[in-house]
Amino acid sequence: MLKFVKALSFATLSTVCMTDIAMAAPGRTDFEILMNGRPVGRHVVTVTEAAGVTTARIAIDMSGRVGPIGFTYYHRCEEQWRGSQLISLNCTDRENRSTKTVSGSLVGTNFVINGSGFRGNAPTNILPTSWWRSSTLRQARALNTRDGRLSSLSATRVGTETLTIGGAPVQATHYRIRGPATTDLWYDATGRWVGNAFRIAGQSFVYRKLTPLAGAPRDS
Amino acid sequence: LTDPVRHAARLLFAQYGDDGAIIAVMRAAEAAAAGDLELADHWESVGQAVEDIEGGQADA
Repeated sequence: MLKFVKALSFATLSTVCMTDIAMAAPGRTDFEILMNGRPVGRHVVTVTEAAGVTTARIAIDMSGRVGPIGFTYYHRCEEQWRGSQLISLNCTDRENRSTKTVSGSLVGTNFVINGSGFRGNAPTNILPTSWWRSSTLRQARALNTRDGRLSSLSATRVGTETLTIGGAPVQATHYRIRGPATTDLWYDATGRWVGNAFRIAGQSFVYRKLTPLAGAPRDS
Repeated sequence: LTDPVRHAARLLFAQYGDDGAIIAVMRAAEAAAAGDLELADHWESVGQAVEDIEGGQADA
């Protein structure tokens, strides 16, 4: 267990994050990322639909300082969906001075991936590791949206819980992804992503929903 | 610990001292936010390894 006696000072975040979704109901959801209760970033998903194509734009921004050391993280991804099928994806990921990219598109009987970490084909039913769609959790493998690697995925349903969002109780199903690290995700009864949490070396990271539930995209 | 973990931990500790542990945690958190749980696990291990290096130096 890591012990942190140093104070973290996180810069004020000015973040513009957007996501679009294909097939699912359009909308936007903004989360604030809290580390031990203190804001360290934003994660925003904006979903739009046009001509039968759903576009999801995902933006994750984290920044702050550890003593004299500043850190920034920038992740942008655009996914296009036709119904429940991913038809293309373009992502850029910057961590301080390191940049990774991945693009992919449906070509014939393959989803062709060109990423910093993997180039090759994936099955046409591959789904990305952007958690806004609960259907992702039903997959055994997922497309890593940082660099294109194909990762194994194992999610279990923990149960139904009541979250408080915008001061109101929301019934949500809690899933836990057991990979090398563990992530907890919550979705409401209509398929809207309402929560995320993970622990890293004993440090608690929790997503706090900022935007109204009614306007959130939905994985129908 | 695997060699990549030890290597990253040594580099972080050499550059940032014990701040390297929290930097590794933030790297892990960034990876987890983007759904890259394998990388999140790697950085979590690196953070622990930095702590171990720090502890070893304190004991020396």
